[in-house]
Amino acid sequence: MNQSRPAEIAPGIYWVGGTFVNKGLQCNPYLLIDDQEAVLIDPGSVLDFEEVWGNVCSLISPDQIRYVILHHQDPDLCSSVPLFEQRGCRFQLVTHWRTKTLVRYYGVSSDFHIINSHQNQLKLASGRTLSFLPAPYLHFPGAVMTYDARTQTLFSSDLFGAFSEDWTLEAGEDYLERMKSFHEHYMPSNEVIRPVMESLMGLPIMLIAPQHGSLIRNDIRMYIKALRDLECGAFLHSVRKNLDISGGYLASAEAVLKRYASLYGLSEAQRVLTESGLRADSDLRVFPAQEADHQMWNALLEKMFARKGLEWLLTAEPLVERLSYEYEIPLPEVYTAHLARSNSELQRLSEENKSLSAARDRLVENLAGVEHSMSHSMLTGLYNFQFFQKYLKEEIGGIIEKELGSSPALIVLSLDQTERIKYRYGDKEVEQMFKNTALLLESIREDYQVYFKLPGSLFACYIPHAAKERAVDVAEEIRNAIASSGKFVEAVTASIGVVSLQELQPEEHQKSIAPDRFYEIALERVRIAKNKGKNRVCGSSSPEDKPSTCDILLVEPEQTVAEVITVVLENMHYSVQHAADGEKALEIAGRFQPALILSEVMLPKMDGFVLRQELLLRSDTKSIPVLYMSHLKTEASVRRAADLGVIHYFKKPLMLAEIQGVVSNLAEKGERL
Amino acid sequence: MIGSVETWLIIAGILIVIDVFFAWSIYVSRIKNDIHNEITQDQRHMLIRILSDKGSAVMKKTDPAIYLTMKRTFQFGAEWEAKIEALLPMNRLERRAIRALRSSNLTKRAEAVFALGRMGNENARLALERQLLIEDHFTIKLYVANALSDIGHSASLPVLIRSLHHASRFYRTRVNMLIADFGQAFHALLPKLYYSKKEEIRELLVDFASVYDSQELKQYLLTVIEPYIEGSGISSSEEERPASCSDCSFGRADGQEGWILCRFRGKVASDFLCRRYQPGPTRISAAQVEQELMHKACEILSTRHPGVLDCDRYLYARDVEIRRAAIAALSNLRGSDHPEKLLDLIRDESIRESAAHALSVMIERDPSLLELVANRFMAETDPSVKRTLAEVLSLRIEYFIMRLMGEKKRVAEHILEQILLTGRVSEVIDFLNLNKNAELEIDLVAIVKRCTQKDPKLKNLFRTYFSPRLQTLCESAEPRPESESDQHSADRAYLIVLSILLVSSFLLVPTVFLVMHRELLGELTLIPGLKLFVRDFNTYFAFYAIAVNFIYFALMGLSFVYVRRQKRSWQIKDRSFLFKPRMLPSISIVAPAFNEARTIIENVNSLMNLSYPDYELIIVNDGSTDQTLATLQQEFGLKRVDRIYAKELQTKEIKGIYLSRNLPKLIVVDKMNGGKADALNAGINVASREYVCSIDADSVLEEDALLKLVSRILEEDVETPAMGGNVFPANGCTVERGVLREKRIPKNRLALLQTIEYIRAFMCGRLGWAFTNNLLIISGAFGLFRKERGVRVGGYLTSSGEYGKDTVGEDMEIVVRISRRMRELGSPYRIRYAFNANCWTEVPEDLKTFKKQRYRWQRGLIEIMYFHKTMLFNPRYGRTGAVAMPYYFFFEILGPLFELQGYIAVLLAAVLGVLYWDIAVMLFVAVVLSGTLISITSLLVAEHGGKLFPLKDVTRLLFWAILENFGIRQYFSMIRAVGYFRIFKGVTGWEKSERRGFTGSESKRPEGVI
Repeated sequence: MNQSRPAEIAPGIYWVGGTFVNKGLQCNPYLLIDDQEAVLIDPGSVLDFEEVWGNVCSLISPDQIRYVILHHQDPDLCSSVPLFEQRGCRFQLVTHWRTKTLVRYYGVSSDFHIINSHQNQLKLASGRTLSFLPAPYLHFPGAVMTYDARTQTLFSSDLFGAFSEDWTLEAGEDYLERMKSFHEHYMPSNEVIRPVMESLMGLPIMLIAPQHGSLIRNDIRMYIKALRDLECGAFLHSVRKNLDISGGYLASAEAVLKRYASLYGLSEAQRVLTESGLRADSDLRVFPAQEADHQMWNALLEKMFARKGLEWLLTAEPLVERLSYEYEIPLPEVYTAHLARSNSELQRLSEENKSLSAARDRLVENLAGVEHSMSHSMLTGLYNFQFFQKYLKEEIGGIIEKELGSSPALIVLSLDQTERIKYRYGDKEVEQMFKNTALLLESIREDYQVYFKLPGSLFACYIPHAAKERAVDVAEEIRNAIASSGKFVEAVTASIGVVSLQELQPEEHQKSIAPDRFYEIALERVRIAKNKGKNRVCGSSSPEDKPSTCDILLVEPEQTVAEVITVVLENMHYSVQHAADGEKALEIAGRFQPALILSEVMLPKMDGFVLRQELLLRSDTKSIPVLYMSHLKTEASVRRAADLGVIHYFKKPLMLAEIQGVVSNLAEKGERL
Repeated sequence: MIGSVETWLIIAGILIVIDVFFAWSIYVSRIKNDIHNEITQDQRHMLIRILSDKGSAVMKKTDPAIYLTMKRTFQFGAEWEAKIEALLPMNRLERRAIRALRSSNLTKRAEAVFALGRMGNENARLALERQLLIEDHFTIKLYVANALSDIGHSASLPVLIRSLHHASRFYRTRVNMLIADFGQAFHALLPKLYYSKKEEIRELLVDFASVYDSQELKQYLLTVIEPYIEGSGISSSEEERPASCSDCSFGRADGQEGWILCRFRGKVASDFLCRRYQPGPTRISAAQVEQELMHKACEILSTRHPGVLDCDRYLYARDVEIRRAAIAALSNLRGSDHPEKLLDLIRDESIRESAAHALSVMIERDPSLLELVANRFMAETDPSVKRTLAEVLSLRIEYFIMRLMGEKKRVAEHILEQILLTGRVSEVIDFLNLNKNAELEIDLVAIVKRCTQKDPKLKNLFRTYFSPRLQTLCESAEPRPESESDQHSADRAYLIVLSILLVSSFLLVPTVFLVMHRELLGELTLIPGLKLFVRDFNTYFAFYAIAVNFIYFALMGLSFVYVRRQKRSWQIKDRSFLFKPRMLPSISIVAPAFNEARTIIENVNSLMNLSYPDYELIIVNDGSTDQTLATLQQEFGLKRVDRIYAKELQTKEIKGIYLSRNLPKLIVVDKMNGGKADALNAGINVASREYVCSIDADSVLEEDALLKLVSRILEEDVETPAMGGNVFPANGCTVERGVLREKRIPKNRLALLQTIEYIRAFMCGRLGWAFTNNLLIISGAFGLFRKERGVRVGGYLTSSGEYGKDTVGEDMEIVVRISRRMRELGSPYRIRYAFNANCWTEVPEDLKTFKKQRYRWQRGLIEIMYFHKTMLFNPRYGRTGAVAMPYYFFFEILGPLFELQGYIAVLLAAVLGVLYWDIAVMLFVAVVLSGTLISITSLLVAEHGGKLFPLKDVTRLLFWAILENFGIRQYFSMIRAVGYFRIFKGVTGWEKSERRGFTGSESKRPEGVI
């Protein structure tokens, strides 16, 4: 169909094209009329100039044209500009600076309005603003599009264009396919077109007016999406295929391997290779295996991650990302799985606590100074003793020197059963135990804590900033995790010492001696914990416990019963505290440190068993002897009580003489009564 | 014909006076109680002061009962007891109690028995022993036996043993343990009993052996199992005891040996037989008894005397049970050759399971055996033995996972693979889902992949439980979409019956009217005819209201009697009695939860700290879409376990069973969504105790509610297939870590009105019905039934269950079904209710939810009636068919419909100007005053259970209880009528599109709301 009359495609915007079509390439010049001003967009070629001139003149007088917009420099849209000038039109050429350079060669004489120096905008006299959207390399480095916000029209230049053998002004049903083939040929690649299309997604668009092809009014988002996902650059395909054969995955793998070898040594790299089922020569040139594909690429990175952990992933990230981009292969799954997670975690933490993140920075800084291979224990994968000493020196020294306000804490733990396991199961089992402990610690580790494997059966945890109480809580958590774990061949417990930097004497607060002293105190407390009967946390160097302010804690919900027992015990000159439920009992036990707890089993809020379990979780209450008394005394309940280390289980009705007897026996045995 | 206005005015006056009197007595009883408590408190303090050495206080007139109450929990010792008793009038009390033993009043007798038991002196003991011989009521007999065992004098033993003869098993199982408490004293009697052939004595001795160790007893147990070692025990046909009165359900043991007290014939010889003979519910054949004895003996031997079973004679006995016991015994022995022996025995298929279990026990005690078993496992070639060994090793699966990082990786891999193939996947799933170590992950995933290739069934398991990342690692495909078509075909017959009922309820009055006035038919014109009709209708309506209220008054009267009896019988039972072994049955509490993440912790806490001898708590997560399961896992450290249970009821698929690390009583069941009834059925499947207690997960139980309720089992020795307690609105209460800190009435007016309604329904209705053994409804919020009965009738009604039906009133329905089955079996039973066992729950606070709830209830009630329509007026179902069912049919289903018409008629009468004084007064008396009376008396009854609310709240409650009768109650009744109409919409698919959650709207039914 031919159309030679101008058509109003939007209020004040006219299609002013001619009938000349060359090999299916229809050109669409547009005229925008705004009050007394007119803007001509992509005026066209020499071949259809007469028709366009006629159309323009039928709408306005030619001297109203103030601007001519040139989206890029192709002759099919620029070559008629000198002809307009010859007919006496005076206008400014609105274009990108790159386009200007080339347009000059058409022999134009008009002034230029360079959009780069006008914030990519053109302001008309009426205040109407046309904005220009960059479309680099689509298909010229300086290509742009024009967007008219008032009518929400996008003059898209070559984008959204199409080959049209039987052209119509408005796009038909089949326009999508026509458009695709045009883009496949003219646009370089999906990577280039995707971001431009994504930026268009956010723009309100009523009409797309391309320079070739037809006007798009319906389903605009569908068209944008189609282009966004279009694999274009058809003529590049042959080039890329070659790349695949010559390298692709293999080349990427080699590059990554070389980086790996440079960090961890050649032999380590060889090991990874064999583990992931690949072969390579001494220069790490990988022999093409049968499946040199995505699977191999994944497997390789997975293995590396398994051996070297997250640190390696982070180090190699830019390289791998670049390779994936270069060869257009997807990122390995380890990255998508692990890195995204840890990144977001890091971000959260750094926002949460500045002092913590500062500490982490220091750690990273210190880390960088220490050879990684020298810093880790072979067995457990935790940092080793040498590193620990160095780290402590740097860290504590730094804090003292720079007078930073942070108060780090150190937790040192010793596994109590090492000798026993060694004796019963052999050295291998001990190694296994250390490994398991490391894994256990790793699983409860918080991001800012650093774990070390010290000589013997010692482990350490450094917390960059924590109050003493918090550190003790962490230590208790570790203690309970170890004691309740089924990972060991038999039950294993830990004696733990906790120290905070603030506990150091003022005279010890010197850079030279503080780090050693810090560690010494922690060790000393481990010894105290061991002496006190193992499986406990010790947070103070004085061997004395908190002074007990009451002898016996009586937990009994029934008032009368409690009164009678209180009287009986007071007759024996003990002081008695009374709690009516489990929760209250726990609180009193923590506060008063009674020498003995006499408790009913069936209690409101928290029964006697749970109460005992909660008491066991805290080192300061775990060794308070507990006696039960209850109507409920069955085989199951007595067995459970025995498992919890309860000394005696009275059956109600209570024989008062029995209570008196047991309590005074305990006193004689040297309990603190 | 109606009586004059004056008569009605007089009646009204009387009612008002009674109302005022009752309201006043609520306050009086409060004050009296307070004063009484204060005095008791004072006297108690005085007693306690005597205990302290600080000086003996001057005893004023102290009630010795207080001292006896204290003796429930303490044995003061001879010195103190003498000191106190010298100051108290003990002799008078003793004389009174001994006299009371002869009273015909059961409660008085029981009180006397307990008092004497605590006094414990010579006279008391002799009186009790005498009583044991002549007492014919089993409950009292049990109390006497308990008192004697508390006193613990060996002279009582022969009497106690004699009382076992021909006693019911209910009595025997309990008293056996009481006798066993005598220990050494009873052991001395052993030679006399050793050769007795009587099943009662044999049972007693075996029970005794379970708590007492001696050579003789060990020998005795061995003789019990002896016949089974070579042969297969006693052949059942020869020794079968012929049917006789002694095990007839109507017979009761008389005091004298060899005589039976029959309900119909009086005293008869125990071998007598008549045509009424019916085997009792607990009767089992002699062979069965023998078998049970042997099992018990084996179990005791293996735990208490493991050494004696460790010889080939028992290890290779013919009876499997004995072999199992012998193997279990091995695990209890320490010694180096036992594991080897067990490893050999494991090859025998019939006892493999026991041997494997024994091995597991040994490994737990001595971890160094693990290596030995692992080596055996690697060397083993027989696949089924290998499988069993894998099961044993799976005990320490976590340890083997860790071994993947160490030296013996190959072995660990092999073992893990085998463990996975046996179906123990929970630990690996849990481990992988939480694991952070990449090396282990790769290794484990490789093993998992290998296993899923070998066994496709495992694939589904992993698919369901793995996190998405792990799923892709294991290359599992998308889970299969489960398509389920939920088809309810509208039951046509049901709708037709409902329509007929509806129409006839509307035609009833016109018909009566026409019949009454048939001679006037020709002469009446429209308006006067209508006026006459309306006037008559009002009269009928008033009569109807009077009739209803008469029933309520009757129930109320029964309630008054029953509540006093219950209260006293609760007061005499002390905990040391209730907590004695075997005294109360064990209970599984089943609490279904659907999207309760917000409140679930609080409720588990409440249910975990109940005071009860033996119970477990099963939380059933019915496919919640919120964090319910995750919250539970986090709070209670849940661990997925592969628990084996009998799938007796059809339910939606159970996804996993979790146990808590710290709370052995807690079990969490995770299942696909299937509605409340389905969740309850799943819980019943998992439950392992004798009774199942269903509780809404959003309810809070009072700490001793379960004890109060279940202890009612001891009242009579007929079977208790079901029982239920109170439900009250908790909207005004504050709950703290599962404990009700403060009980207040709700601030919300609608909830407040419901509080009154609930109190009325429970205190008047439930108590009265229970007294007459007609209780038909138990609220799902707090109800119990025997697991065995529940399972036998097919569990709760679900569309996937036995009956393929679904109802919104499943909680009520199951009790009806159980009653029905009991009646059909002809076994005597009693459904019990405890007026003081309280459960507190949220009720709707806005009218919309409230209405929806009531529509549901009404719909449920009608569905149940329809489902069990054969019971209606059917003499086969005794009282239930003749009284309870008709009551529900007429007053709860048709009642509201008739009331609706009645109120319309009253309105019409007012409009037409025919609402005369006489009728108005009559209606006022019938509807408003009677209603008020019922409400106030209910409050008064509720006061018996102790202070439900503070006095200020009671006053407010009283005020609203009166006000409520002016319109509000009528409105509630209207809602029920509307509920009837809504069924037509409901059945044809109007309401069923709702997802079957159950947040609190369905099950708190206080039965027919009066």
